[in-house]
Amino acid sequence: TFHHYFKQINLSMLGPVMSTDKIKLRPLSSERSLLTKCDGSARVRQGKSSALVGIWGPVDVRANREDPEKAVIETTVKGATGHGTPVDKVIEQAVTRVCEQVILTAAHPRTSFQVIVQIENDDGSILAVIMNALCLALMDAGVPMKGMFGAVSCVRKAEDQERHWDATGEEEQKADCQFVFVYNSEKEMIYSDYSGEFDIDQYMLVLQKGRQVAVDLWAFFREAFEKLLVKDVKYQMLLKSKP
Amino acid sequence: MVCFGDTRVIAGIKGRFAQPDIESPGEGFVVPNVTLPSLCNSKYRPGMPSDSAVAMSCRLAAVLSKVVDRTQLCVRPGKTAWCLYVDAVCLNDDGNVWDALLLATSAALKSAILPATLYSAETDVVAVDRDGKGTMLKLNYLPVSVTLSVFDGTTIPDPTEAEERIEEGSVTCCVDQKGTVRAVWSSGHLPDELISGTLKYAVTRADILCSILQKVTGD
Repeated sequence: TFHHYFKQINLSMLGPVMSTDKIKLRPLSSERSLLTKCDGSARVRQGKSSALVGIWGPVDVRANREDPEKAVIETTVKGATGHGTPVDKVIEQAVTRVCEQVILTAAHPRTSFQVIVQIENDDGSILAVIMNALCLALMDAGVPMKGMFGAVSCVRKAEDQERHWDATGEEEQKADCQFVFVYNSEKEMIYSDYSGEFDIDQYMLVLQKGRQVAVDLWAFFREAFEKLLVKDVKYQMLLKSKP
Repeated sequence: MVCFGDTRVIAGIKGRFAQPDIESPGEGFVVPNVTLPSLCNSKYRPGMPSDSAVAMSCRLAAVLSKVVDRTQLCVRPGKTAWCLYVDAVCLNDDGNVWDALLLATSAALKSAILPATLYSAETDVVAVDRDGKGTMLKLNYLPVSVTLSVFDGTTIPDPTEAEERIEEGSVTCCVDQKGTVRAVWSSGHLPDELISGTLKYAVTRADILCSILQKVTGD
């Protein structure tokens, strides 16, 4: 069974720095449990960018790769078209790093979690889309995690020096700065990737603004799951049994 | 060659003639490649390049794409251009290979000389003029990188291999010679004050690395 949920996130930000950024994300949709053979899977679409993540875990790992203290994360990223490119390897490293921090790997020593990412369409902010799909897929697989995480991306256009959140492919090409931030549920930054020409104060400003967006993302994830769990008998019984 | 403690890295640049892209007939190519051979560390197996080598090559390409203005590599527009193969090889991996790689690559680019060329209209061949004076490669900026390991809410700069193996995450900050931050990628949860403190430290350390670089390449 899968569940489809559509929501447009529209935020006006007036943070403590009193800036006039109007943060508008593209329409966000998610589907869960769409792959029957995986332990967990999810697809997230932000505008036209779309990524599908499948999770297997905990599963067997080859003896030479196993870790006696924790689970090993094995990631594969496949691009939308053509054979693999080196960029896929960079995304793999990013996904592995985030998984290592969020998954309770010490709970499953000498096993591995396999993460397969399929980029279906890259129309900008694809790393953020992948991270969001990853979070939903991990939740769908029931993998023990420290908390949810959410990713936000932002670019600064070269001509007008304006910040655009959740940029499309076209906006990314015209940008001179690109940010991607992943926040954990304690709102700490757990992964970031930035390139361009920026000073530290502005980097921190974008980091803080992105946090607000991440909070809305989690509300969306929570809603996406609650809609499904409404039909789940066990979960309803659990809710009723609680005082 | 750059040595950070026991980590040893060597970078070199080789130029070859190539036909420019149809869409950009006035530009040459810069092709970076990072090799982590199995001799530098037992974790790298011989055969296909490891994932970390491929990822590092990709990152190096992203950093260098803005460093070298490729129009200066053009010899004859639409016909011949320089293709610079920038190769960085790690000879010994004792942690923090990326910083050493970028420093070695920057040093190599800064001291690179594009040879003068001769074109013969009769044979339609471009050749290197060994008696002519070459031109120094012009760089938009000189990138230098500072990597810190994240452990439990603190950061340790320039991690060794033992530290890298148990680290929670790492922060890599690429800075140019003027102190402008050009790229940052980080993993591992860091509270806000630590992030800004770490970036400021990275800028000061990058300044030291840049001054060493400029002293060595003779400025």
